[in-house]
Formats: sequence, structure tokens, C-alpha cells
Amino acid sequence: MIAAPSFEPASPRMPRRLAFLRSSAALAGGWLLLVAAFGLYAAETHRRALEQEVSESGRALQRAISQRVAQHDAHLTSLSALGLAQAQPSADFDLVARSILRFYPRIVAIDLVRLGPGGGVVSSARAAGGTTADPAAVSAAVKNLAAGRAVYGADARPGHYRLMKRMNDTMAVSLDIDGRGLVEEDELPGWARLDLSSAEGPLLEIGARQAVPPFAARTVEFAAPIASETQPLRLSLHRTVTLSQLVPPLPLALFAALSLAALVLVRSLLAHRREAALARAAAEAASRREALRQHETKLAHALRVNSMGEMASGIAHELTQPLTALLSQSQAGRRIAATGGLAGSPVDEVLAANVLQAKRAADILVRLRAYVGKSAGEAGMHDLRTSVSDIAALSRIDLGRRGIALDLDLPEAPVAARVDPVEIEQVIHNLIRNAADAVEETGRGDGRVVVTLTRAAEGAVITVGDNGAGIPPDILPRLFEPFFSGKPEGMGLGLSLCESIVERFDGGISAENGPSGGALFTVRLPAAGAIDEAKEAVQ
Amino acid sequence: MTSAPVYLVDDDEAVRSAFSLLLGTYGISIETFGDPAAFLARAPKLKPGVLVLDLRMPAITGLQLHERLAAIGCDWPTIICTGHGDVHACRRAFKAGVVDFLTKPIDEQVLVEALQQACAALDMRAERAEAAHLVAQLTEREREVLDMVGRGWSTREIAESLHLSPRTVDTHRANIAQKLGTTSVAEFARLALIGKAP
Repeated sequence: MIAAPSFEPASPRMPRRLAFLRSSAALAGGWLLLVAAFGLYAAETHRRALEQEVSESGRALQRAISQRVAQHDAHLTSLSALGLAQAQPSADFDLVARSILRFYPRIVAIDLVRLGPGGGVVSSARAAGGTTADPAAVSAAVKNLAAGRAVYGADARPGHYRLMKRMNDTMAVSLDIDGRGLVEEDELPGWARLDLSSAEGPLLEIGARQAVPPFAARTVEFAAPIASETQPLRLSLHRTVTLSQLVPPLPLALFAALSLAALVLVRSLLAHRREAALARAAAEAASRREALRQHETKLAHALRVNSMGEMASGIAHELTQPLTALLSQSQAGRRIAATGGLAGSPVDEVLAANVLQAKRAADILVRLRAYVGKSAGEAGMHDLRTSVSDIAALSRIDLGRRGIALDLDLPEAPVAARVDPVEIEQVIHNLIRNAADAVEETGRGDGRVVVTLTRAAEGAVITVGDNGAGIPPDILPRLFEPFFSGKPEGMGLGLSLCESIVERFDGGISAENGPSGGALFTVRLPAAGAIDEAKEAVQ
Repeated sequence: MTSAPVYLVDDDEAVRSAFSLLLGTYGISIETFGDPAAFLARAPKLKPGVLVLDLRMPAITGLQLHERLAAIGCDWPTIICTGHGDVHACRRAFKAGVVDFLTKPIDEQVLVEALQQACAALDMRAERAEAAHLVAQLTEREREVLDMVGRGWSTREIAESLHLSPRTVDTHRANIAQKLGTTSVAEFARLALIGKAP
């Protein structure tokens, strides 16, 4: 079965993925999702960059501080060597201590201490902010140390600590170190807060504690130990990161604006495309309707022309019979007159005139037939499936209005025949219309006309069947006679015309009542090859 | 003019009576039928004749009638008459073996000539059948001798050709003359020609 062409505009194609953009709410939702995704991505990227920066700064500081505290150990070693060499206070020790204080401002006091009861400070050098060590405290700190070992000592003053080294059983050297000098001013980035702490507690804190904004995202932190045995300090670096740092508002706003604009643009493009597709579909439907209308007009014209021809041909046929009788009878009359010796008599002359007039009338009919014969269309090779489906599409409109179904059964393969397609369509159209009229007459609700096309050995076979009341047996033999009609208002030319057309293409048409009672018309058209053979045979 | 009857099948009463009248004046025996089916039923019992069939009749066309008649052995010379000067129908008619195709109204001259030709064809057919029947009664040797006589050979020539004595050939000729019912050499030639087994 081949479906009849549809006249509904085809649904315009639109990518399913983008169809949601038609809804404004969905558009807004999609946009927000997009902006949120961008925000998350930006925050993640910035967070990583910030963490990287903090950790790089932290490592640089760790390296610098580690080097500096290592210098303290070196100083202690050289000071204790000097102190051992001179058991008594000496100018050399003081000289060295003073130069250390001068070159290393974070070391604010250097004391040479005698241990034990009755001990005291043997030699002391102090810079601003430095205090002389308490010998008792130093003794306590180094009490358990082996000679040449140093120990860290917390100090009450903020930022200060002591580093004490036992030289031998009686002597120790102590450094008073201001921890703030461990970090140079330009080494600490503006955003950073640095903490140094020992096991005893926090040693110092550099950099302002930032007031945390209410929507601060988080603090980024770096922590690492300072590489020193004698000064077990721990460094930590903090950075407070605000939301606006993580998600810069300007790029976000820019992205939001651009993405919204892009979405709106895509939506309007899609809408435009949809409209264009709708318009195209409508135009196609209109052009199909127009083509159908033109086809209908052409068919109607052919029907008029052919009907005229068929009428003329029918009249000619009807007149021919009495004319034949008239001519033959007049000629018989003249022969009878001649045997009676009446040749040349007025009766003979009257009969001779009759013969003449009958022949004249016959000539007129010959000319009429010749004229009618000329209107026959051009025959060429055509696929009958096209003709049948075209005319079915046309008829289906009318039948649909009348509530009659039209079934079409066409073969898969082309069925070629040498015909004039317009004329063959006219035949099928006539048959379908007759079938529809017959069905309508019965008044049944399930009226149905079935058109089939099959390819038989001898050619093409088209059948038009209906489920009407069928053809009365007394009418059946005269069905194809011109001016014979089964319908009160019929001219009686339709089927006669069908027969003429089909015979013009060397085919045949027959009528019968189908097994289910309705009428069944069968049109047979010879296979294209068979026609050529027939023509050759005649030649 | 001819002994063969003419059978006219036409659904129009006026045409039938006019043709009857006209052909009657020529002394042609004519029998008319208005119903093709009725004629088809009677045809096998009829004497062979010439058929004049109208092309367009209800239920069955003249051509179809012609074909059905041929199918039941009534393959008599047929003239088709039609009101339509239809080339296609004409072509098919000749293809089906019709002897003439006439357009109505038919002038008496045309009709009578067509009938004469058809009668001649019928006679020819009858003669041929008769000759074939006669020739079939001859022996193989007699048919050889008849063939040579037909070609105008003398008894001596025939005897030499067949390696027979002239007297034997004469005996054959006497037998042939008796079986064919004629002693005329011209008749011999005619029968040999048309009576040959196809």
C-alpha cells in the first residue's frame, strides 16, 4: 500500500537538544546553570593559583629562615671556641660578640656564662632591646646537655628566644635572638600573615590579622618545620581569601552577559529557523494543492473534450444504423424498381435521391469521426502506478467528504504500459466516481472503494471495486453502450468513454459483480512489448 | 451468383431487414440474427457460409463472436461492419483473420463485392478440401505420377524418371483418372496443386 500524499504541513525539524530553549523559564534556568558552572570553575582555578602562590612563598621563607637559624649555630660554635681559649673575660670575645651584634641585628645580646652555684655572667655584649642572660636560668637549661650541645629557650619577651650552648662543665654561651629579624620586611608578601612557633608555644606573628569578611570563602595555609636541630621552630603562612578573589565579579558578570546574549541569539535563530521551516512546509503544501488543482483542471478539460468526442462518436454510431438501413433499403428499392421496368421513373429518381442524401449524411459522419479521432492524446510509456496513485489522491478528497473510504493496492515494481496518462486517469476517475455513487446510493456507513493495480502475464490489470448494491443483471450487457445510463440524470457517456479510451490503447474493459456483491470493473492494458508485436504483425 | 448462404448478425432490426431486402434482390440467400449468442448456439448446425458481423453489439463484439465461431470450427470467411471507422479495431480484425472490414453505411457495390470475394474464399476452401480429399485416396506412387503429369511431363519422361515401363505409368494414370473422376490433364494439374497435403 502506498499512502496518499498528505496535505498537512510537515513538522519543521529542530534539534531536540535545543528545543528546550523555546521556554523562557528553561532558558533562564539553563543560563543560571551555565553561570554557576562558570563561577565554580573560576573559583577552583583561582583557589589552585592562590594555594600555589602561598605554598611557593612559604617555601621561600622556610629556606631563608632555615639558613638564618643555621647561622646562629655557626656563631655559637665560633664564640664557644673563643670562650674556651680564654677562660677569663677577654677583649677578643667582646670584639667578636660586638661585631656579630652589629652585622646580625636579630641577635640582640651575647653572654658568656659561668655555670653552677656562684657562677655568673663573665662577659656580656648587648644591642638595643637585648637583655643579659640570667646565669641560673642558663645553668638550668644546659644542665643535662653534653659539652658542645645547644638548646632552645623560650623567653618572656614577645618574639625573643635564647639559644644556649654548653662549652664545658663550667661555661656556656647564650644568644638573645629577636625572632622578628628572621624575616626581612620585603620577604613577606603583603597578603600574608606569618606565624613562627616552638614546642613551648607561639613565638611571633608578623602581618596583620585581616578582618574576615562575612562571606569570606576560606583561609589558605602553608605550614612547614624550619630545618634546624637546635631551634625546632615551625613556620606557618596564612592567607585569607575572599569570595570576590575566588570569583572575580567582573569576568563573571561579563560571562553572564555574554552567555545570556548567546542563548537569546540561539533561541531567536532557532525560532527563525522554525518559522522558516513552517513557512516552507506551508508553501510546499500550497504548491502540492496547486499541482493537484491543476491536475484536476487538466483532467476536467480532458473529460470535457473526451466527453464531447464520445458524444459525437455516440451520435455518429446511433445515426449510422438508421442511415445504413436507409441506404441499403433505397438501393434495394431501385433494384426492385428496375426489375419492374421502372428504372428512370420518378419513384426510381426519388430512391436515387435518397441514396445520394444517405451517402452525404454518411460523409458528414466520417468527417465528424475523423475530427473526434484527432483529439486522442499521445501515447507513451508510463508507469501506471503514478496514474493510479495520482488519481486516487484526487478522488480521495471528494470521497473523504462523502464519508467513503478509498483503498489503494499498488505493486512494489513499476507497471509500464503505452498509454496517455491523462486519459487513463480519466478512466480510473470515472470508475471511482461511479463506484462512489453506487456506494452512496445504498446509504451504508462503511462505504468503501478499492482500487488495485497488478501486473499479469499479458499486461496490466486495474480493478475498481465497491461494496455497493452491484449492477442489475439486465443492465450488465448494455453497460458500455453510449447514451445508456443506469443513473436518472446520467448521460450514459462515462463508461462508453472509458471503453473507447481503453480500446484506443489496445486494452479492454469489463464489468461484473464481485463475490461480495458490489460492482467490479476490470481494465486490462497490454504489456508494452505485446503492442509492438501486434503493430508489426499488422504491418 | 453464389450458392453459399450469408449469415448477418446485427443487433439493429432496421439494418437486418434492409440488408435482407437488398441482398435478396441479388438472389443471395441471407439469414439474419439479432442475438450473437443465439447465432453462436445455432452455427454448428448451419451450412458453411459467409459471416457479416456488426462490430459493436451488446455483451459481445463482432470480433469476439468471430473468434468464438472459429473456436467451434465455424472458421468461415468473415466481414466485420462497424459504425466507427476505428483504426485500432480494423487492425485487430485483420490480425484475427477477418477477410474484410467495412464502415457503415455500406454502399451496395462495396457490400456485394466483399461478399463475392468472401464467397470465392469459401469456394476455394471447399475446393481445396475436396481436392485434398481426392488426392488423399491415391497411393504414394500415384501421387508421384500425378505430380509429374501436373508439371506437363509426358508418359515416356515419367517412365524414365521413375525407372518404370511406359505401360505401368499408363496404368497409374488410368487409376488416377478413375479415382479423381477426370481425364483432363489441366484438372490433374489443378488438383495436384491445391490438393497437396499441407
